[in-house]
Amino acid sequence: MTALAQTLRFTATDVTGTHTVEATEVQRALPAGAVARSIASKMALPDDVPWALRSDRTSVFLDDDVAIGDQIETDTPITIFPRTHLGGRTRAEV
Amino acid sequence: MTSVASTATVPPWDAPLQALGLRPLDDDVAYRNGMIGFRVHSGWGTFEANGKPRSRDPLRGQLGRPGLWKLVTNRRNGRLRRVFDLPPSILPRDASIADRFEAVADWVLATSGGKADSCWSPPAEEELERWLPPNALTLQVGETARQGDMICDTGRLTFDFPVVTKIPRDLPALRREWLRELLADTQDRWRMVRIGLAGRSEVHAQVDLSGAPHEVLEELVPIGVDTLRLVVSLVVEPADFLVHGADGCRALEVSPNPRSQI
Repeated sequence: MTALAQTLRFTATDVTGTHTVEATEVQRALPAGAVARSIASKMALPDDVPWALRSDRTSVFLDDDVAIGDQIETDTPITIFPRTHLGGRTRAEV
Repeated sequence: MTSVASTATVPPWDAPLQALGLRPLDDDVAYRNGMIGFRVHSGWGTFEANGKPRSRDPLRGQLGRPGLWKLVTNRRNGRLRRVFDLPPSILPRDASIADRFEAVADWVLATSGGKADSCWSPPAEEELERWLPPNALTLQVGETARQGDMICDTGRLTFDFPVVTKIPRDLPALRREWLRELLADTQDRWRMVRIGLAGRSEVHAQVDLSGAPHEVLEELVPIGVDTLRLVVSLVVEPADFLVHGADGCRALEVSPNPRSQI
């Protein structure tokens, strides 16, 4: 198998627990941000919201720009979150 | 009464092609020597190797070869053609940049045998990245995402996207046939991009600019990567469906080539 075709698999759940998808054949070299968008699309989640992935093993949010294969192992459960400010303003915005 | 003198216009690629031994044919739009032909069609310049290609499978044995050579199928008679397409902006508009086209034609001829100049060096990776938009090699189409790669080494400059990362061993024969049909059709329809099977289970799409003259690379790299992204974005979802999602689809239980069932 070529390095470019090395893949991993995992189960992703949205933060409400409403949707779960089995992600298979996910290229390890893909940035986590692109994987988040494709999972959001699989779950039919709104495409006008930025999405982020969190490893349920470490509770760490994955870096959008870093290859997903460098951040999780195969079979790591993942939760997908909308990347939003939950109300309020930051100190800088006030 | 005015008279209009007819003047034969010589296309700006005439001199460079003649310098390489290609002679104009009677129809004035095509050139040929014993090994290779050239024709301009819809603004694109297409070189075509004469004779029968050695390979009988357009999806095998083409990946990793230098240059934009690829096998396409003539839909009218089923014959394989080996072609090398150049985008319109690479063709000279006037004689002033004919030298540049001569270097391009030289590249075409040099790679026609399937081997690149092992001494050729691609531009530095940083320079190549400057010519491309950020994340040019990351593609997300609906539910599917693909990461491409730039293979930049001595003698080699290839842009590569996996289309299918793993064809299951137990994929039904008819589904395999549909997948082949989809891939071959895509390869026939879109210029510059080569699609092929890598090993038993992977499908890749590539644009290979190995050996290209440096003076055209700044133009060719963005065109090649854009074309590659377009082709992959068109083919990746149907390919994924055929490989992973078409269970129970009765329309795919008949051969895409009805004659093969007779």
